[in-house]
Amino acid sequence: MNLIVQQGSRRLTAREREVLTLVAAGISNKGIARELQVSPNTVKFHIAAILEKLDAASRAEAVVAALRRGELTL
Amino acid sequence: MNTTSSVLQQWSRDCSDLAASLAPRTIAITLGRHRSVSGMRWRGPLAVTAAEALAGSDEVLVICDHGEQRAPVVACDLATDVAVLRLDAGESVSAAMAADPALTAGAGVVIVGRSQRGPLVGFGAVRAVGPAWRSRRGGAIAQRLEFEASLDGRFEGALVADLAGAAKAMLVPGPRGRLLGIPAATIERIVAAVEQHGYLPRPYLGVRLQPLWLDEITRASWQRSAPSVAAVAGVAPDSPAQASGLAAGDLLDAIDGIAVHDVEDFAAQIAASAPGRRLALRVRRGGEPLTLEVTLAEWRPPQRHGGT
Repeated sequence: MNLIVQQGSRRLTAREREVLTLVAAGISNKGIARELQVSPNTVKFHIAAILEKLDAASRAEAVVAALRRGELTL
Repeated sequence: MNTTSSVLQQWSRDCSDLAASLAPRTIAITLGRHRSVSGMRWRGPLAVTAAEALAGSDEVLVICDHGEQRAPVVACDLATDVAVLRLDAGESVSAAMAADPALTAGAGVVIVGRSQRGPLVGFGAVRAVGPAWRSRRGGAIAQRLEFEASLDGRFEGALVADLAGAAKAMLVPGPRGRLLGIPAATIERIVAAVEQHGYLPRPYLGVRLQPLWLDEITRASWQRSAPSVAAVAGVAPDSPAQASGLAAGDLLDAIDGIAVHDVEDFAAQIAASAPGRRLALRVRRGGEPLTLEVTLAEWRPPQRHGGT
């Protein structure tokens, strides 16, 4: 039971998937903020959470990791 | 005057002249108060640097030979680690690179970058050269280039040239502290697209993939070397993938006859294809081979509130 809960919590949220989709397309933090109508700091916060969840050291690594997990549309 | 010392002095002057001849092409990109990376003028007003270093900036402070300026980031390709900046028009130093003579393992290289205070120079050697490869970042790179040199973070994005002064690659950090080179051909693919469109158009297929791990027997009977195969986990509505008939559960075998090893390999091959390009996807459906024709669309931000 515990394992399932943990695994569930590692999945990206819908918002995080939206952010990462835009990161993958090379959109800047400000561009993502405009697109999602949130502040640039919120975007940075989402990106930090994404890197942590995917155990990624960089944006590029996070994109590849999410791709492998079927969380990004190519 | 002894001959050895005059040879050494001449060698030292040659090294210095070589570095000085390349320095005008280099730029420094300021990231915060105490951090900078390097980059190089490529052609006309366009310059390139390492994409990851920019950390999502849409404008950066650039320092070149003639002072500093703010430059917009016009393209950022994380997969190849190439970002393109637009500098003020005006004096343009063409950094067009020479493919010949090709770098060979063991050959000497000069690596020229720039900090806020001026040019940075390092000398090193080519540690390894290999064929086209797919980086761990998911990018299709025209040639594997690895260097031996002692450099710090300010050299990220620096220009790598042979000892005749022919520019060959952009220096980027690789896994496990390796120094990799993004070859001219890969940078040129991205810069040329930016020149043509004003931005970097990205391909869109509309699939979600996941690796499917194969057992030995299946691998042998399918003649696959990779341990996994890219499986289609989902197809987006109104996408090129849907129009082609691609369906969840299809296993991706090859693109235009080139074997697809895994999810990252497929992604890298798609990312390196321009929108509008027609591809033949060979898939396995229920174990049976099937070829589907697909035309890549251009990626657009997901729809949210009409208009741009």
